[in-house]
Amino acid sequence: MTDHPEGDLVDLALGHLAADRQSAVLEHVDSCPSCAELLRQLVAGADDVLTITPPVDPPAGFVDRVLGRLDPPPTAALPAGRAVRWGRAASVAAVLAVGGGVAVATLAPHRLEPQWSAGPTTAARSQTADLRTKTARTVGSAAFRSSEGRTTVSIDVLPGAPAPWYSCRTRLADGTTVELGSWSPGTTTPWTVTLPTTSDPRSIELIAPSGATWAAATFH
Amino acid sequence: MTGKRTGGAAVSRRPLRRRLGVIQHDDWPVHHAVGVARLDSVSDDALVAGMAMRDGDAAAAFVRRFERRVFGLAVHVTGQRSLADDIAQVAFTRAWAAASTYDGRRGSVANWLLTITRNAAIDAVRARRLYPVDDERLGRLVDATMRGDGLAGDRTADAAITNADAAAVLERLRALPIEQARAVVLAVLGGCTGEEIAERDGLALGTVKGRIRLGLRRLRTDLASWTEDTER
Ligand SMILES: [Zn+2]
Repeated sequence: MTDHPEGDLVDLALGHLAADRQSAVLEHVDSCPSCAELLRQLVAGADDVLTITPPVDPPAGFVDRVLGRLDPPPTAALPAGRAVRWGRAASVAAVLAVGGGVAVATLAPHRLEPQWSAGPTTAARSQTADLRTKTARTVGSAAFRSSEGRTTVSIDVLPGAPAPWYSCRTRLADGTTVELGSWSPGTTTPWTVTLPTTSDPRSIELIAPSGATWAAATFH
Repeated sequence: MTGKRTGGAAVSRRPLRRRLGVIQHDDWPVHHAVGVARLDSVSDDALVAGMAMRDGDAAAAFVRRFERRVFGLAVHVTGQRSLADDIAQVAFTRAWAAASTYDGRRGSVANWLLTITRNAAIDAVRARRLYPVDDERLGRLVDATMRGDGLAGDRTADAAITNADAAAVLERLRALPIEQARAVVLAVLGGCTGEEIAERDGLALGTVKGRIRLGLRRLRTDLASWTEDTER
């Protein structure tokens, strides 16, 4: 036996690890590159297998039943001259779970709430800032570009990030916080997310599975 | 389907590109009267972008595209059609709610959706203390998977790409020692825990977890080398 919790990693990757074991295992993963790599491979392998799920025909009327319970309901066409902005209240756990990462977190109920914001379109704005750890070590960069009600946020991280994935969060000038999803080292960088928002990002944070902020970029 | 929808908004006659407004997709065809049927030919990513903007037509096309695999996975994990029906609906509604968080650089739409489905199904099974020990059903699942039934899964515009990826996965799975492949299928698609597989097959827990670990790992390693080989 080694000190590496390989059996627990299998359970974690498959979504079966008991809640009371998760934090201990994730803490180990945070500090152990070989377990982080194994977990990444297990999750990726499981993801691959999902793509060959044998299909089964659902009961009649399935599509209509799904459409009938969409929350929020679909919107009608947008009124002319207005842009819709989505205020968000998603939890990190929810984003981690649906972001395709490890099935550690239960999907907390969350909803997107539309807020109407009239607004003339403005010129494009963009900024880039270093991503730094608490000890001021530069580990990459983050950038955003806003134009016409859409903001593209990208992060570019140098090799060597210790955790298997990070949830990425941005604080906007309007005071809201938006979960951008999760990013895993080794996947394509720069990693880009587009938000339907007219508010500029003020900061971008990468949060380790343990919940601690690993690195952050601040825009001025 | 145009004009007839349950619980949705009226069908818009505005061009879809305008309705999506802030999201641009180069592969998004511009139509002046978009119906669900038309959306059947757009990419998976574009449908999710449409859902992020709360477009009901995009949602309808998305559900039709993936319903067989989402429902299939829910049935495999739960073993109950009525429960699977509910879980599959939950999975689609969660995908709808979270559409703006989807990032195509991190994996395919099918993968994202099936991961949501699997999580929902496993939560439901655990909450109800159901144990997927129906030997015959799980045996059929392994057979169907190894036979490649999943390659004809979706009515997707990206079917060619999806199938090439899926065919590669299947090829690697078939190349594994059979006991590893079985353990992987039961764990991932059958939703079985290591303990359940151990009990079912009369094996030590450590043996089962070792098979799953080796199988998933080898699947991944071989896939990586396969990609490199084909790109060379
Ligand atoms: Zn370790």
